[in-house]
Amino acid sequence: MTNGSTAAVGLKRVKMRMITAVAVMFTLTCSGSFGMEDIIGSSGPGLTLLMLLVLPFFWALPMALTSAELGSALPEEGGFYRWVRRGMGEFWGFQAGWWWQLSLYVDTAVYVALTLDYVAGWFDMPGWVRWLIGFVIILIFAYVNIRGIDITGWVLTVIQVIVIVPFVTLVILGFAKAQVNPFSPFIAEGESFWGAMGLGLAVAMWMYSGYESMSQLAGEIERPQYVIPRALLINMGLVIAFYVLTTAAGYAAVGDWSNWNTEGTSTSIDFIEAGRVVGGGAVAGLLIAALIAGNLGLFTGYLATGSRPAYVLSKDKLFFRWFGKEHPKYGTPYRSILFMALLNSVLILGSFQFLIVIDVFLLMFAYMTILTAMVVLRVKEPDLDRRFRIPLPTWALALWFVPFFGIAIVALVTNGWAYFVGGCVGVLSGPVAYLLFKSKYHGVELPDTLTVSRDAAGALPLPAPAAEEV
Amino acid sequence: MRKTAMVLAWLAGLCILGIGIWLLVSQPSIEKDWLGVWVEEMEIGSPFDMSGAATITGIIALAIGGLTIIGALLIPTRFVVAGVMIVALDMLACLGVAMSPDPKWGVIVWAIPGLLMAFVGFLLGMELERVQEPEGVAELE
Repeated sequence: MTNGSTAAVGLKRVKMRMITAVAVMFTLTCSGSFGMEDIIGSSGPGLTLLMLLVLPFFWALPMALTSAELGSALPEEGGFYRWVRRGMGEFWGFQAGWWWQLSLYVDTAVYVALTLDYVAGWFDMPGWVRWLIGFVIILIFAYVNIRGIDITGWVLTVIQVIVIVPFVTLVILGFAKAQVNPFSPFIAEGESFWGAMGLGLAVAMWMYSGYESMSQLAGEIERPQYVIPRALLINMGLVIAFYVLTTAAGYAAVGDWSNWNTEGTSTSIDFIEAGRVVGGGAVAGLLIAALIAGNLGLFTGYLATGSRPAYVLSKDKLFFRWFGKEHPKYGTPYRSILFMALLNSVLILGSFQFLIVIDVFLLMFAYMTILTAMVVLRVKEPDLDRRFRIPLPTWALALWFVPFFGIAIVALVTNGWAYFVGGCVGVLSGPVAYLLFKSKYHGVELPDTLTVSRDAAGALPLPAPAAEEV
Repeated sequence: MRKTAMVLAWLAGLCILGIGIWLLVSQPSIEKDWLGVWVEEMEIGSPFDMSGAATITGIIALAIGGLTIIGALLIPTRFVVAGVMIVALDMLACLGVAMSPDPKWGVIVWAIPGLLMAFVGFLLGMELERVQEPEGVAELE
């Protein structure tokens, strides 16, 4: 799997099996159903399942298919940053990359912090020991990332096995010991349909996010225009099935919908408690392992993708040049990875809930820019070689994206006015950063055609995937 | 694009000056312990009272309005500096609104100048893309 070649600018391309690519995608978009408990308790079990089945068509699928189409047409390191740049110009490309990167810089640390909180719950440890464990975890996974996307993919595959096996066990035992109809009650008592939906929507959106992430790695995978779109589509179905089955089975076995939440009180029911009910301590223990592994997987996956915008922006002379250096041996953007890891090491020191809510705001703006670029590119470059094309005309595509924009805008105001204005501060940092970096480094021109670079990278022609990679 | 940005910056500046004068003249009631409570909630200090909050915020608004107009005047000659200055002022004001005792009212008061200043930043960013010659060609992976 590691038999890679070094491309012109120093990044190493590696062969990635489809199963590894799906494992990476699964990490970035799911990594377990933990968190779903809050939707059951606030919206009601029936509506939760309905949302899990319907929301993807308006929220996850537009982004997944956009990433598949543009990833097949413009398979470049930096992914959506380069797509937006090509469609809407350097300024908007920078904004998309900047907003997304800023949100991940904050967000990624949360996964390590959550892991540490679980560990700290079992062992009484002083604060510095907690931080030291977190620091070591971050260093280990930063090293894995620096070694290359192939090693990272392998680690994430192992992690996802640890995540999936307990949930599959829960699904089998849960349905076998079902006590209640998983759709009943449909809506949380005392709530209207829209009120109940509003309560769970933000969490459901979060659960169905991340489909744009893997595009960041396109420059480090051989034949990305083949691997990434297929991994996206396989993963999409996998994630929907995973969420629906685990939620339905867990709730059907335990019932008591109003006590489903992640608050950890004596009456709280979560997936670990559901595992204990259906399979005893062994299944609960496996689910605890899945929870920790899932968080570490999310950290590793988002350290991989979240570190790339800084590297590509630096390469495009729109960010500090220091970030644009590849590791001489492993061909990875090691400085970007190290910087993000060190920043996360600082962030795990405290609670940064305010910053985390701001990052939702930044992601929404990045998402809306990506989908806008998709429509713009359809209009501006109708003849672009799209190996995968969403089977919709451009007008229908634009119409399909309207609910996505509506949901994103609703998400901007769900956390209250203070967070709304705080989020605006994050978004406004984009134009300021562009004005500063562009005037200092000047930026570079994108070549008119991508054919030459794609051939030089050895990524084309398509199709004809090697049999063992599928 | 620069002319549009300048007009928007002028409008924002005048709007903020108006807000400042309104705060100074009508002295709307602002809870005097709000900043102290916020400081306590953020665990960065002890609670305290701030009397004359309307006067202080009014003076701050006049300062931001004045600086925004200076930024508008700078746009024809030094638009990068002007853009950074105007958006940075907008960010500072947004932080102030986020910290305020009633952010909903803060958002309502700041909505128009805040949006105008944000548009100035986006317009000047696009203007910089238009006028700044890139150095070389990107090496695409």
